[in-house]
Amino acid sequence: MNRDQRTGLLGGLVAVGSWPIAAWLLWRAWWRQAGGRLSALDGPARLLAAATAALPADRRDWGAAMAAELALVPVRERAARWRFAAGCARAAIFPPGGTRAAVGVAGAAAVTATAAAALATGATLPAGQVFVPVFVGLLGGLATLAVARSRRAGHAGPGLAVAGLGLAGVAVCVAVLGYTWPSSPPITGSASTRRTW
Amino acid sequence: MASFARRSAEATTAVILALAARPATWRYGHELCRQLDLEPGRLYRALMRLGDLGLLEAAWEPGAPAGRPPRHRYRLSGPGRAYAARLAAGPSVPARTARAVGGIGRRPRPAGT
Repeated sequence: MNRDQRTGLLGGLVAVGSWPIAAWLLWRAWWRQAGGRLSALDGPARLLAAATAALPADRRDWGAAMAAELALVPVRERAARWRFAAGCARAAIFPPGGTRAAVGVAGAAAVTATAAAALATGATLPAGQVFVPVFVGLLGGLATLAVARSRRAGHAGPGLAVAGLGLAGVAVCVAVLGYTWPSSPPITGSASTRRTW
Repeated sequence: MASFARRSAEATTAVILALAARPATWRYGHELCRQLDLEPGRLYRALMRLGDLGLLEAAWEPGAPAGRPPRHRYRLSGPGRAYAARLAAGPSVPARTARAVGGIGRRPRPAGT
């Protein structure tokens, strides 16, 4: 195994291994806060608690309201409890909010930005042809989700502005990276080796 | 199969009309689900939407018994009652508001059209 292969293997291990560690740390931090409370709940109540934990602060009351109503469904009616919890969880994860048009615009902008990033990096920055589109796509997805979850019905709220700013920021970053990358090649690897990351 | 938007509109309309039937009475989520035979997700999305528009009053149940969390109760606000009256009277609901609450005011299409 030569030096390039060892470096690639190490990079791969770091990239693959860091996700489970990060997920485990997040899970542990969340469980320390909510684990004691959740351990006393049954499955449907846990599902609902997990879903409503993601509600924005100004909608937390709705989560408590759903939990209180779930408490009225008898424990022996497990199917009914699961149905009720699943329905409430769906409303908690996708509450009404931004207009469909705004969500569509944000989604279309995200898709366009991702495709543009893929094309641009493929042509000018081959080393980033995986990372950059994936990064832009994730950011676009989050921005679209933010617009969809924005609170004021009939208005997109700040979500659309956040989406636009975020995508513009990413575009600038990609452009700057593309401009400076050729003058700053990776330290490892030979000049003839083209690495995709 | 009805579209998502149409089903949301129908759920919101059903909730408004159910609340308007007894405007002074506080109602509860589980009770409304059973009365309207609505899936809870649709009910709560409709309630949230009405709350966002200021058409709904929500309050916590006072004096909940020990061992049970207090329930959230709902009734139409003043603008909500006025809106429900206009909704019941005919299709003259402002189009912008109708769109905002998920299509209230649109007449259901006759079957087969």
